[in-house]
Amino acid sequence: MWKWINSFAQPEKAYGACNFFMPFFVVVLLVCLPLGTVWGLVFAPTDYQQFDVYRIIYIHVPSSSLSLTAYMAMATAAFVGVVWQWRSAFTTMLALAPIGAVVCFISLFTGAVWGKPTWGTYWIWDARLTSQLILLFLYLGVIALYVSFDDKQQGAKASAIMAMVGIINIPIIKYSVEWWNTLHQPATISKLAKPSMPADMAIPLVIAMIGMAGYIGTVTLIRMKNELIKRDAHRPWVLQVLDAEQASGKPFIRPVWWAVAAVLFTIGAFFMVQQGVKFDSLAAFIDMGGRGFFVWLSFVVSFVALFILLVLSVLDRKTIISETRKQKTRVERIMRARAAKAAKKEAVANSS
Amino acid sequence: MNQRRKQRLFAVSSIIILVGAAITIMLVSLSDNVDAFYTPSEIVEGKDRNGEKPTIGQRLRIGGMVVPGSVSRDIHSLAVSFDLVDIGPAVTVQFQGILPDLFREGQGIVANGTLKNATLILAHEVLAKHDEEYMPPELAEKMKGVTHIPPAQGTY
Repeated sequence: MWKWINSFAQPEKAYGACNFFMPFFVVVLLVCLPLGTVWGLVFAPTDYQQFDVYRIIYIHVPSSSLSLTAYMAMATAAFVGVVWQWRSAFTTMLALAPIGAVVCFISLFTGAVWGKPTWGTYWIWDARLTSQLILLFLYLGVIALYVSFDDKQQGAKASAIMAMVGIINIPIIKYSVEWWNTLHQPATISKLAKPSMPADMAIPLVIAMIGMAGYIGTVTLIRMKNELIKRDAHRPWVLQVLDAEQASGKPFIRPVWWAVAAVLFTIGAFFMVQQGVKFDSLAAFIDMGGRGFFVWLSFVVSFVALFILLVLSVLDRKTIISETRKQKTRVERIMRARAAKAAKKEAVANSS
Repeated sequence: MNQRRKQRLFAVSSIIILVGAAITIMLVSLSDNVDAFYTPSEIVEGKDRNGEKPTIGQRLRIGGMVVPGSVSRDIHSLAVSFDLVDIGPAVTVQFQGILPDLFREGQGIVANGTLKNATLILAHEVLAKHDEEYMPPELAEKMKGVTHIPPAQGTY
């Protein structure tokens, strides 16, 4: 068992595992994130106190909650990387850091935009908001520390220590609303307690959370594969795998997974539509009870941020692969030139 | 687990435990005065623990419920005054500015400001605190007997 788990320390095995898990996360992302968002915005009932501005919850809570989960995953990877010195563990950590930073930014941004109309302020230095801001700085710190080292192995180790020490912030964020007098209210959805909202509001929220997890999983795997290729560019398995991927000509995600996603989405949409649209007209929907600006600002900025990160990660892959191939042809050219030179020398030596 | 791994595990865990302990101790010692937060009865009667009362002119943060019927507005400006209460006596808050959507009679409010006299606070910021419960208006009417008007049509 341990031996089997430990085999994933090898980069090539980890790369294979990424490919194996990718379709699951992609399906979850494609089904749940749009479904949860649309359900929350259009088909969930309005709130008795806040009315339609409360719909920001459908992006705020998933991003807040998963920014903590992503941090725990990152710290775990850092721990495995430092203690067991798995070669692949640091790549997981480095892949998660920028994603966590973006998700944490979304949590802070949507929180601020939501806070203005409901609480009366964009920002307040209360324990929950401050500790969440520290989480963003921890994510940025992990990235910055890695980038600032010339020796990437040393850099990864340093940022791993930082990631592990920062784990202390997680329980502080989680329980800040209970330990101190905060303006921020306690958690609406928690694993241990009954949710403080009826099912027709809670179900789309849970779906949106699962969708956000799917997004984080998908982008983590994409970035982790990039990182694995980058670190092992000089090792033979990389080009073997890349060549095999190219030669097979199979689509990256098999059609069967698209079909699964379509079926699941249709089932979800069926239940969603049964809830009935909660707005009288398109104008009322855009207006969101006079708070449209705040709701749409939250959602547009969040999805633009998520989209940019996804596109950058995919483009990164293209660059890294072409760099790797260039490097390989360069090495081959040098080897050929050396061989030619040696042959020439030998010929000269023979003739004389 | 081999010896080197054990050593690394020990080193890493001890760093985390030490830093964690340090931060915990800091937070525990800070928790009493992490911010100057008072409830209305604490302003009048002093804090439970040491009977400490805020001094006149002190900047403080107060949290309590808006007493129904106590909200009075100036017709010509944005000035508003209302009473806050928790379980004991009430204090009056004066404020000039736009109130948040959730400001209502009976709503939990947090105000930042200065203490003008024993029971009067001049607030420069009024924030609404709400609980973690969300529910549709029809359900709220049935369960809690509250009918609320949308913020856009609000009177405050």
